[in-house]
Amino acid sequence: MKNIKFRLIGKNSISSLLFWLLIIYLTSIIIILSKMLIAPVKVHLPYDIWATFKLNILYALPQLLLFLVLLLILFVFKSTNIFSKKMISHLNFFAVFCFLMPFIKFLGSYIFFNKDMFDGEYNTALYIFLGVLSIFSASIFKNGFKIQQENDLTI
Amino acid sequence: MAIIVNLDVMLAKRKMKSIELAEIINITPANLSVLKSGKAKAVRFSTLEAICEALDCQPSDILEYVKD
Repeated sequence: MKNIKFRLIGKNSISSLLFWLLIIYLTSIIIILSKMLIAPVKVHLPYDIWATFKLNILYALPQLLLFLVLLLILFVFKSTNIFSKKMISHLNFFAVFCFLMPFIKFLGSYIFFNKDMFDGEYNTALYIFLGVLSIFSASIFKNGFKIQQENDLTI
Repeated sequence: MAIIVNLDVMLAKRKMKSIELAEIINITPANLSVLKSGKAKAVRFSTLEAICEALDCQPSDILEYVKD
């Protein structure tokens, strides 16, 4: 057991495993969503259930995009060089998405549906926390990128 | 940049090619090109020592400070 080393970055690492797991997860979500959108429920449903169904689809789309950005971040983690401009831009993009998510949910529930349907206070705090964490990570990677560039140009 | 690398001048004086110097001091021609063009951010003492030994010169022959 002592010889087993878990690597976080690079090929055959935990990030690589997470990358493939996320691809499987996203594919399954896309399949489920497409089935829901192509063949919606034909039975007559009460307004609340129908609205929740629509709302869940509305929420799923930005969440899907959020996971796609996460996939891009994991893709960079899979490579050997993680301090890259791509990583910084992906993390910033992820942070922006995290900050936008509560607004999307808020608008979705207040404009299109019943006002009482917004119940994402807990999620909002989590998204904002994740966004702040992502911004901090981006600045760390920015510094790392700068140091690596200087190191590469030291002869 | 205020520090100018006069490596190409010294190479011309010693009638040595860049590839030859790169082989002697054991660095890649690409890195030597970076050093020659002044794009390098820093030079290790070991590299400087190897260059001085190969070209039989002083560090001041290779590096020069010019006010901006």
